Amino acid sequence: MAKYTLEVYGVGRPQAGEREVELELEPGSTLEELLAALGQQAPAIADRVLGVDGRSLRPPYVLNINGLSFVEDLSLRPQEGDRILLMAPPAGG
Amino acid sequence: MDPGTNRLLLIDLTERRVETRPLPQALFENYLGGVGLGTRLLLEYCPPGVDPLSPKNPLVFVPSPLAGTLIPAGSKHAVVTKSPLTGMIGDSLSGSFWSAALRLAGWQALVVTGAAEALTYLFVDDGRVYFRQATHLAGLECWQTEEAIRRELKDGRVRVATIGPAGERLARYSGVFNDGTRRAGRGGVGAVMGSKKLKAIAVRGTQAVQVANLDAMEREALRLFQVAQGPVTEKYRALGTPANILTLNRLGALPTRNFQQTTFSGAEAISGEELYDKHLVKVAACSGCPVGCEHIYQAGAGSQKQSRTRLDYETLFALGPLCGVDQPNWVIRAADLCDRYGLDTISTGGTIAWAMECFEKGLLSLGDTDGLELTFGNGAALVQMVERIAQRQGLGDLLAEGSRLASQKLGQGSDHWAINVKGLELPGYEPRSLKTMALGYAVGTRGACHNRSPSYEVDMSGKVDRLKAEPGRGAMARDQEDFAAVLDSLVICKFMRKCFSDFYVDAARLYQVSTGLQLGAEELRLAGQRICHAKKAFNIREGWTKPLDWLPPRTLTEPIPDGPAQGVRLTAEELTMMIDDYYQSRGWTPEGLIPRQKLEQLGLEDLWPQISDKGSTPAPGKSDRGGSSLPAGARKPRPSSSLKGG
Repeated sequence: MAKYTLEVYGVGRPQAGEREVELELEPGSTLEELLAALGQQAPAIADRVLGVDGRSLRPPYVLNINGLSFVEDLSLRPQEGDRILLMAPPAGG
Repeated sequence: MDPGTNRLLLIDLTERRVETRPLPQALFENYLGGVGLGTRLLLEYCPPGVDPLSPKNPLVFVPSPLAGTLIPAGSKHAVVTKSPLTGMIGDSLSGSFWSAALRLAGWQALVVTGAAEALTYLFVDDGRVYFRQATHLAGLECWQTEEAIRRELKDGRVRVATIGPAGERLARYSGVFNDGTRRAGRGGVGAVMGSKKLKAIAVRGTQAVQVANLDAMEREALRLFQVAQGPVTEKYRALGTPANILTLNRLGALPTRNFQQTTFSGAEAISGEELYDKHLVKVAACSGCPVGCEHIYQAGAGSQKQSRTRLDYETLFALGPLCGVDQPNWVIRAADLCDRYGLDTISTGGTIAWAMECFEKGLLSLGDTDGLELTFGNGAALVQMVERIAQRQGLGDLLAEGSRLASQKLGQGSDHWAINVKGLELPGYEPRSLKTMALGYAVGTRGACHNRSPSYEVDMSGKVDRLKAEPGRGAMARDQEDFAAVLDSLVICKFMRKCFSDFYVDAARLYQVSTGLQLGAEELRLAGQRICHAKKAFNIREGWTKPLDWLPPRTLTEPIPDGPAQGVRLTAEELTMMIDDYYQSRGWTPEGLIPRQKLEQLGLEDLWPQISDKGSTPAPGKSDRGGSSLPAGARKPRPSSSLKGG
């Protein structure tokens, strides 16, 4: 099994009570599979951020890898040890 | 629209004269309302080349066409003038009860010209206007002024838009405040009001706002209310925009210590989460808003304990990380003072951060600061300097001019770290690690602004590499500007923008049910372009040249020193490439000027005489992706009717 760290930013964080979640998945898993695992391993967060299919994000949540790239394509396979950032993207007015 | 209700109130403070003029329907079809209509009125009523602080500079107030109706979060208004901070267009938004009151009083626009002999306030009592002496209100803080006027008029329903002491003293980034903590903050609209010796505009509106289709409006309003209480706005309801602090810090996009770093060691201490846990006292909402983003915080200890104010991300960033301050009590106190004195928090923080760097580099001495250790992280000094700016005391007199003018006066290379575009201090999105936002800042008509160009949304969408400058960003920044122009003209609160499944289609429907004008999605898109071009035309008329579309030297010469984006640069060549790409996407000349043909496409040909002598304007070539035809389904724009003599 491979370990991935999910960092939670924004609205999910105070409500869900988690700052980071360790997820264990098969090596080479996709981001979609990672989100599905989130539903099983951290339902308090998943309930707030996942769509009805349990494998995608509901708007406005997005994913970012290692604080660098935002990703839209959930078929992307993160590297083991990557830190996945789950966030409501910064926005002001 | 009912032509009988589309009226402009024109008030000349010098002559103490009041006129009403009809607003032709074509103005609404072409400019919608808010910022768009305000821009058009500015072009009409502002003589070319005026000093922004002279009586001839008009101050234009335009409510949303949705204000005072059932549509949620539509009670907003625009304040438009020639900015004393930039010398370019200054358009700023505020909202809540005052916006609705102006429409309930029967006005679609209010234009104030001239200057009073002594401090005055206006009382717009439905269809009547009273000039009232305000010398007894001199020096009062914003909320004190509101209360004093309501007491004086013996009516709690009266809504007041006012300036504070900073506006009276012509601080170039003072704002016009209303309903407690709502403010048209940016660009110095308060200084223009102060230059007119106009302390406040009180409004009592007791009429009903007529809408075209009440049944349809009820359906639209209900749908929006439901969506606006769902997940797309949960962030604003839960933590408010202060949630951005930790997110942007993690992304290396949190401007810190005057843009010397992109991450802040004290981010956790002033995060939205920390404030929520330890300082939140109340969550409030604007008039008719189902979101309720307004988080009110109170300082927790010591002499700052009585301070209590609204904090949003921009205020928090500007008075926190940008000045290196990680103690919430000082940040809350500084923000509270800005609201009381009537100062824009972004420019206040940006200008003080510039001065802190000057102090640390030895350009300002203890003698210059009257003994104040003006170092990054010194919260007490930050608060003291806000006081002095508002009163124009000591160094505060220089800082009240904004970072651009202050750095020009101080010299010694201090413009290198004067972080502004066209004079407007940058908001809290680091341009070197958000390349589309960098372009949006550079070309912004009112200067560096994340609201008029929400291009950071492109950078955080996953559709582009945010760290890379590349062709194509021009069109993306253009589309973000056009979108914002429509949003700011309708005027719909930005926090509602994700509540639309297809923004232009849904927004057109809102406009139709409210006004009866049958504009479709394509007409709205075209209006967005037209409004952006009208703003640009105003700037060209007032002396804009290509070098003004640029970024502060620091952001183009220093790589990011820290965080996940460490080592990332934005070079002058990259910025030039993106700006050229943007001009091309607009159908402008390589010098950034608007060709006559482009104005004609947008129904703005009457503006050509005002800008035709500003540089060469060859006809656009094949690269004109602005197109020579209107979007499918769009009607040819109607000529804008002149208001003068109408």
